Amino acid sequence: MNLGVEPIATGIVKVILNGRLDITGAGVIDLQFSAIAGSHRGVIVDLASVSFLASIGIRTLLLGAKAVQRRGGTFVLLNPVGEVEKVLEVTGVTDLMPIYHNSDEALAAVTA
Amino acid sequence: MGEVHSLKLRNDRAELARMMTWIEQLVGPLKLPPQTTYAVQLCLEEAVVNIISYAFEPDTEHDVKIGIWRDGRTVFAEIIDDGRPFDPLSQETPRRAADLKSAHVGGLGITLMHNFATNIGYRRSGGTNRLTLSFAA
Repeated sequence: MNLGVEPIATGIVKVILNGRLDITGAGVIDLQFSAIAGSHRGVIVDLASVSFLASIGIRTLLLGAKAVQRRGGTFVLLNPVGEVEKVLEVTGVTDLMPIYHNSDEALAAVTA
Repeated sequence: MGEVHSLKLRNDRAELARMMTWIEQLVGPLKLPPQTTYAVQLCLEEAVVNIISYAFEPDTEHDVKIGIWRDGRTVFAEIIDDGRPFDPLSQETPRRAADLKSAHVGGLGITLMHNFATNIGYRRSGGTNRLTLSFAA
């Protein structure tokens, strides 16, 4: 599991996750992810290269989204694929944060 | 019924990585389609993490035993532990939160197991918990 950071503008960032967001993967990125969520008002999480998502990874995403929202910011997910998207749907995450399948729309949402 | 593939884990979260690799290695022998592999890995992670987190007294060493086999178009996974009685089927699945602010973090493992396994059975016998999950293959 690894985490890439692509700054977009002041306080706005795209986080690119790559790998398996299971117990092992979440353990690797959790600290860095929560530090980013705690210090930005706009966060796009690119899930296109996340091949596996378990409940521990949903915890990571929810905590991040809560931290950003608490400060009045916007936290969105981008391009979840296949079974990862099914995990987001059946756990209700899709009702709690915006999910985009288009980079421009995600960008517009966090820079609005 | 095909050969049962088995694995023994210690009650340590670090063991989950070994379990995932083991399941990957069963993809060929059990002819697992990608969606089935995902479902098996997901449900076993959720079930085993629950067991490791809640079944045992702190600082005690235990084994968690896993068996996986295929019978026709169904893949079965069985998890056996000697921890305190715990029937995940008796756990209520959390209600869907109305918004992010009120959303609880956690408790989603059971929801995922219900959605990704086709059947779940629990039996307590002889001091052990036995959880059996079925998957379409």
